[in-house]
Order: sequence, then C-alpha cells, then structure tokens
Amino acid sequence: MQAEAFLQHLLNGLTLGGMFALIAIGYTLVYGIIELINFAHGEIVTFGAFVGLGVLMAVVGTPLAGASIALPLAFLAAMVVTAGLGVTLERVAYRPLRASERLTALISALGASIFLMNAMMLAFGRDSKPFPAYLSGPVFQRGDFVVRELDVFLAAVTLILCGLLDQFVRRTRLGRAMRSVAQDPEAARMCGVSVNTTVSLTFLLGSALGAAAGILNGLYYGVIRFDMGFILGIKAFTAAVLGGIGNVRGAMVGGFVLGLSESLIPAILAAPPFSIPEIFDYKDAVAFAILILVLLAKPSGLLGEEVPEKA
Amino acid sequence: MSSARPVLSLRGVTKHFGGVRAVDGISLDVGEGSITGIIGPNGSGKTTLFNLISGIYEPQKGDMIFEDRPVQGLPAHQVLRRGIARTFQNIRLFDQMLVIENLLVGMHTRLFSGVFDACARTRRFWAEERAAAAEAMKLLNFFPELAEMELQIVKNLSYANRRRVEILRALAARPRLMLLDEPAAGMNATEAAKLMKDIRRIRDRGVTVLLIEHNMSVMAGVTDRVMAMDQGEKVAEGSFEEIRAHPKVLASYLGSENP
Amino acid sequence: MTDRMSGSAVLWGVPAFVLVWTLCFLLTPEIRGFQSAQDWIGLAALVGLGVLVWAAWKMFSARGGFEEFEEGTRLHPARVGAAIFLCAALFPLILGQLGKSYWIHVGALSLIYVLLAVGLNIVVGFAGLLVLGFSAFYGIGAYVAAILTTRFPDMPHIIWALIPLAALLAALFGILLGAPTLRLRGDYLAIVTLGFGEIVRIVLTNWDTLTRGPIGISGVGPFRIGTWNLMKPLSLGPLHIDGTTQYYFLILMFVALGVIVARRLNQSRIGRAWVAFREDELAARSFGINISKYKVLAFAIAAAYAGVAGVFFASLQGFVDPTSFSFLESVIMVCMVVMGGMGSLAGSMVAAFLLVMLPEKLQMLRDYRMLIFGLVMILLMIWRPQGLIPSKRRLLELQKEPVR
Repeated sequence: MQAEAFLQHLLNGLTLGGMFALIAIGYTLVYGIIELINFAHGEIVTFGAFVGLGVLMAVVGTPLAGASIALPLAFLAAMVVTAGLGVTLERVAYRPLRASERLTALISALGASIFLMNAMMLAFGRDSKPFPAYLSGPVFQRGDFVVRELDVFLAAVTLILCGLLDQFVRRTRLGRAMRSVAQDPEAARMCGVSVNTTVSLTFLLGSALGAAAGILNGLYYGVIRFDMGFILGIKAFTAAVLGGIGNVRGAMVGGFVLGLSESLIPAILAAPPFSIPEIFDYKDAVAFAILILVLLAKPSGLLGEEVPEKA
Repeated sequence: MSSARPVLSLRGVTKHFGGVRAVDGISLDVGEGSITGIIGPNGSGKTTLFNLISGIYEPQKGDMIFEDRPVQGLPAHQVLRRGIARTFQNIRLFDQMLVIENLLVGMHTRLFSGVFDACARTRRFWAEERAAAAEAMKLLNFFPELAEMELQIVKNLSYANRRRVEILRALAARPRLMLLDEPAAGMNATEAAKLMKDIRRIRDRGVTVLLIEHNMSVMAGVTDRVMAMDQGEKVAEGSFEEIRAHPKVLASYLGSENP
Repeated sequence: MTDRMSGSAVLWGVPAFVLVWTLCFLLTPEIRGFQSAQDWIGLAALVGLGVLVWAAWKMFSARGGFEEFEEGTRLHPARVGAAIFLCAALFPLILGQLGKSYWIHVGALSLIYVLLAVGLNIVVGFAGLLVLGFSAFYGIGAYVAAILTTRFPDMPHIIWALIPLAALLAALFGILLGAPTLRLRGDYLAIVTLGFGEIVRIVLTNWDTLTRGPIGISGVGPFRIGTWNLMKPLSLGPLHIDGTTQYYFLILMFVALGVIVARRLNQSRIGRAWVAFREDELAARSFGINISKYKVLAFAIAAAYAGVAGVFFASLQGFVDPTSFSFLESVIMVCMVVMGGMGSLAGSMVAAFLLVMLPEKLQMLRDYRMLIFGLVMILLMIWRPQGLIPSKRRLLELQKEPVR
C-alpha cells in the first residue's frame, strides 16, 4: 500500500473512531448505571442528526449560515433537544421496568428502538437526506492524502466532548453521584443520592453526546437516513464492549480501536500481498467479527475487570 | 466423636481476589459422620471456603482431598458427582419450578435419560421418572411441614419451607458430605431448635455435615468440632467449648487489634 | 362445584371455540382505510372478536381455567392437543370451499412462524438464553433448500432429504455459535448472537456466486412424491385441494411433531436442567448440571427447528432473498416468545399466529405497523411481562393417578 493511501485510511479510521467513541460513551454510561443495553441509543443518534439538519436547513440564506455560527447552533440545538428525548425515553420505557428482570427491560429497549426508527421514517421519509457541506476545504495535501478542515473539526469536537465528559464524571459532584449509583444504587440512596435524577442525568449526557456524533456523521458522509442508527449503534456498542462496558475511558479507546480496525483491516486485506478486494463488501462484518472474537477471548472487554461471582 | 478417618481433608487451601486474601492457607480434617462447624465474623472467608470445596472457585494453592481423591480444580458439577452437595447462605432455589422438580434437579446426576429417551418416552424414561418421583416423594416426608406441597411453585413457599426444600434438594443428590451455609439465618429460637434436630437427622442418614452458622446455640448444640476463621485464616480448632473460650476467637469477634 | 365444566363439553368446546373464532377472524374483511363501509364492518368485527375472547377467557378462568379443565375432564394433554390439531387441519378445507385461498397461504406462513417460535422458545424460554440472531438459522435452512434444489433440478426428491440436512446444518451452526459463547453473560450473548445473525445476512447478500446476492434465488423446488407435486392442485373425488393447502398440511404435521418434541423435552430431565440454570446458574452448576452441555444442546435443537422452518419457507414461497432474514425478523421471533410467555408453548403458538395474521388484517396500518409493534412491545413489558399465557411448570402424569 502507498504511504499516502495508508495515511488516508488511518485518518478515516481516526475520524470514524471518534464518532464511535462519542456514541459508545452513551452505551457505557447507561450500562454502567442500570445494566441495560439501550438498544434505542442508535436511534437517539439519528434523531440528533435530524435536529441538526433541521437547524442547518433553517439558517440557509440567513446571516447565520456561516460555519462559525451555523455549526455551533446546530450542535447546541441538537444536543439539547436530543437530551430531552433521551430523558423522556428513560422515563417512559425503562424506569417502570427498573425492578424487573433484565430481559424484560431489554425487550422494552428493542421496542423503543423499533418505535423511534419507524417514527422517524414517518416523520422524515424513507430516503436519504442530503446534509449541507461545511468546511470542505483542504488544510493539508500531499498526493492522495488530504486533510480537510472538516477532519480537523471532527477531531476537535470529539476530543473536547470526550475530555469534558471525562472530567465531569471524575471531578464534579454529579459525576461522583453517577459513579456511586453505578457501584451500588442502594448504598448511594442511603447517602442521599437521588437514583432517579442520576439515571436521568446519565441519559441526558449520553444522548447529548450521541446527538453530536449524529451531526458529525451527517457532515462526514454528507447524507443521513432514518435507519442509520441501527448499524452505527451496534458498532458503537461493540466499541463499548471492546473497552469494557461501564468504563468511560474504555469506551473512548474502544471507539478508536474499532474505527481504525474497520478502516485499516479491509484496506490491508485488499492490497497486496493479500489482494482480496471483495473484502470491502464485508466491511460491516468486520466489526461483528471483532466483537465476537474479543468477547470470546476476554468476556469482560479489553479494559474490563473480572468480577468474582457472588454466591 | 469425630472418627479416625477424615472424609474431607483441606491442606493449605488458598484463594486470593486481587489483593484480598479471602481464604489463606486453611487446613482442616472433617471426620466421617461428624458435624463440623465453621464460625467467624462476616467476611472471614467461610462462604468462600464453601465455594472452593464445591468447585465454584478454584484454589490458587493447596489440596482438597475428598474420600482419598483430590477434588480441587474440578468443575462444580463434577464435585457433586463425587458426593458433595451444598445449600446457600441466601437460599438459591429454582424459583419457578415445582417443589418436587427442585428435588428432581437434585437427582440430575443420578438419572440418565437423554434427548432420545425424552422425545420417544422410552420405557427407560418412564421407569426412571417414576422411580425418581417416588424417591422425591419419600424424601419430602423428611420434613412433615412440606406434606402435600410437592406441586407448589417454590417461589410461593414460606421462608422456612424454602430452607427445607433447599436441604432436601441437597439430600436428593445422595451426598456423603453436605455443606450447610447458615441454615438458621432468619429463624427464631423454636425454629432453630427444630433445625438442630434436622441437622442431626441428616447426619444419621450417613451424611457428614460441614456447617457455617452464626447462631451459637445451634453451633453448641450439634457440632462435634468447630473451626474458627478470621480474615481468611484459621484462628483455632477444637470442641465448641474450647473455641468459645479461645482468646483469639474472642478477639476476632470483639474486633480487638492485639489479641 | 356446580359450575364445574363437564369433561367432554370442555374437550370439544374449547377447540370448537378456537375453530369458529379463527374462521370468523379470517373472514372479517381486511381494513384498508376508513372510507368504505366494509372497513368499518371489519373494524367492528375485529373489536367484537377481541371482546369475545376476553369474555370467554374471563369465564374460563372464573371456572378454574386450565387447572379445572385438566382435572375436571381427566384430560390427557395429548387429547386436547389432538383436538386442536384436528381443528387446525379443518381450516384450509373450509377456507378452500369459501374461495379464500390467500388466507390458506397466510395460514401456512403463520404455521412456519409457529415452528420458529416453538424452536426459539426452547433456547429463550426454557433455557433463558436471549438469541437475537435466530433468523440466521432460518436463513441457513431456506438457502440450503434454495441452492440445492436449483442446482440439482433433475433430482426433485432431494428436498425431502433437505429437511434433515437443513436441520443438521443449522444445528451445527448452532453449536458453532453456542460452544464458544458459553462464558458470556446474558446481554453479551444477545449481542454476539445479533452479530452472528448480521454476519450471516451480510454473507448471504454478498456471496453472489452461491446466493445470487440481493437478487435472491427463485424457482425453489416444490415437494414431490413420485409424480405428485404438492404445489399442484389435487382432486380426491369431489374434494379439490389446492397446492397451498397441501403445503399447509405438510407444515402442520411438522409443527405437531415440533410441539410434541419441545413439550417432551421440557418435561424431562433435560428440560429441568434448562429451567434450573435459567433460574439460577450457580445453583444449577452446584447441583451437577453441566451447563455447557445443556446450553449447546438448547442452541442446537432450536437452530434445527429454524433450519426446518427455512426449508418450508423457501419451498412455499418458491423464492428467497436476504431481506427475509434480517435483524427485524429475529426481533419479531423473540417477541413471539416473550409476548406469548417465556417457556409457554401455547403462548408462543398463539403469539406467532397473531403476529402474522393481525398485520394482514390491519392493512390500513401498513406504514404504522412497525411503529405500533414497537409501542406494543414496550407496553406489554410494563403491563404484562409474563406474557399472554404465562408458562406453568407441571409434573408429568406418571401413573393414571397423579403422584401423591
């Protein structure tokens, strides 16, 4: 493989990884606290993308249309509205089931996912929607290797949001409350932590990050569709599992590991000496194969710890 | 009263979780036909020791010899086949199943019907199921309180009856060693007194009993020998009277730093 | 008890009710919108039928329900099963006379889903292992039938051999999936099975040379016995039986077999082992149950059911493509098991029937179908997590007298 081509795949992998990381955090926060795979998180991401698209379409032709105003506005609006949806989702579909068996809540999550996906299909249509192009100019170019402004922007947004969340969970009072509920909800309650508020907060944060990832996804690929959240969600969940579910830093690492392997493994296999160009058809299968292999080798994830069985 | 031959011998059994020494170099001989007690404050490693013996954990060091053959490292389901059955500190029954089915699960390793027998309902299947059900019904007589309850869903039983079913499920496996983990938990004095008789009746069926219990009157009433544990280590061993007066035991219960 | 229902009245009354109700249900007009009188009649009829079931159920349970049903009538479950089987066999004949052959096709399709739901119930309901990739096994069965019958057109009888072959192949994949995932906890297992299902779908979509990719394979061979093609109408004296009806009977036989096997496994040492580790894995291990062995067994048997269902599906439709084996299909199958009541065979069957039939009736909801489906899943989990017909453990009747 040419050096430039390799660098390009590396860059793509990092960008993809950043998006996976942002979404994976949503899965990992929720799982860490209520031990539920929030199947509807992918749809939350899609919803965020649509809200962002709505804002970007609304400002076309107005003085606000410039990237420096339109993009922050879109992110802000999407994150706020989507956080509201996430909190509502938890209230309606998960909170009544918190005391019941895990399978029950999981089925409810599946139902929520199907519901939201179809609601978006009815509201926004079945077709792909074009996303306005922003920041497409090159920053750096050498042969086939191009770094666009957008790539820098994506990296910056990802790093800032991940960093903020990490500091929030580690340093603030609410972050401590979240960690305490994750460890032992009963004990946290005794210490005066409101479990309901904390769970709501978790959904709020996860959904806001998911919305940001949704817009990034739209900017990156140029289109969004009502069902894009399914595959994106599964992959991000894979990333969360890779990093050890419940572990925020693990989710970030897992996101990048997955993004890089999804971008580089097919590229390497397609180039000599392997020369299997058909591998690109199976690109999506790579993520699932990695997921299965990792879980088989280390059931608690890369950064997860083994917990002793309670007897 | 403990007889010469130990049915179970532990030698330097050790299990650490990360930096925590849950069980640290425990050695113990359990005499055949005896009732041996284990006492110790919470977190002293008693239940972990049971989990080691019953194959749920594998010890990092040490030997566990049951009836002259090593059992360390065997998976839990094979430990039962060797003749060691147990109960759990916080009753773990199969809640949605019938009382009698719980006992039949206890007999699992003694039954042999496979997929074909079950689907074709072969003669062997019927014979085996009938014999097993009859044996389970007979076993239910062990506790008169459970009369006519064989077709109840276990979840609906009272706490005391759930304890009883758990003991019967273990007996159904026809063990030669039974591990009882705090059977008197949640019982009042009358019930505890009744339990002492029940434990002796289990022993009288030829089952050696290893017993974890916080209820000291039960300990005093049934045990031939007692081992005291603290922080994963054996503190003392002897008759209950000796243990009760042992300064180290007193210290571990009273929490004194320098015994 | 004066209210006690007499034995034979119940034995025949219940299936007769089921038969008449289902016929009425099938004969109500489809609701395509809210314009014509027909739609309103259809809606009123559906609501009326719903109320009827509800009232009958209330009455039935007020008089002791199934307990009384079995005790009062000294019914062997086999006799009840046989009566219901007979009713199910009458449907296509009656519908055929009424010229409603489309509904025979839907009936055959719902029988395929009944087979799937009963199979999935073994692994999800009995053993408590959530499988979110069940349509992969279904797809494997369907594609085995499609590929082999189109590759060997001069061997039309091969399709009979494909039933056991698809079952074995699907079971093999079940073992391949089940064995390595033994250590995984519930949710992780669900995700791995989901991943497996997606990989199978991606392979079916992209392996053009074998599966013809997204185009799919048409011309899947029908079942034949000698020169008798089960897809061709058959005249038995005055009775005309069309192809779909013959398929319906063929599938019905396998459904009956599948239900009997599942029931017998459930009431054996094997079923007890499954339910035991579903209830408490650690206690089950401590009581001599080799969890690994029974998990893999559950996977293999369930997968075999799906493989067989796939063969019937491919041959009934004459066509397969990857869209029939998507993640959504897997979710729908899980819903059949959960809505019916985990571990409840009767529940799975009823739910499978309803989930195939109702959408056909409610045509006007076409676009909203999945939306409502998702909503119903959530509501059902909140209000009735135990399912429509909750499972109940029963002891096998070992003698003429119940054990006592």
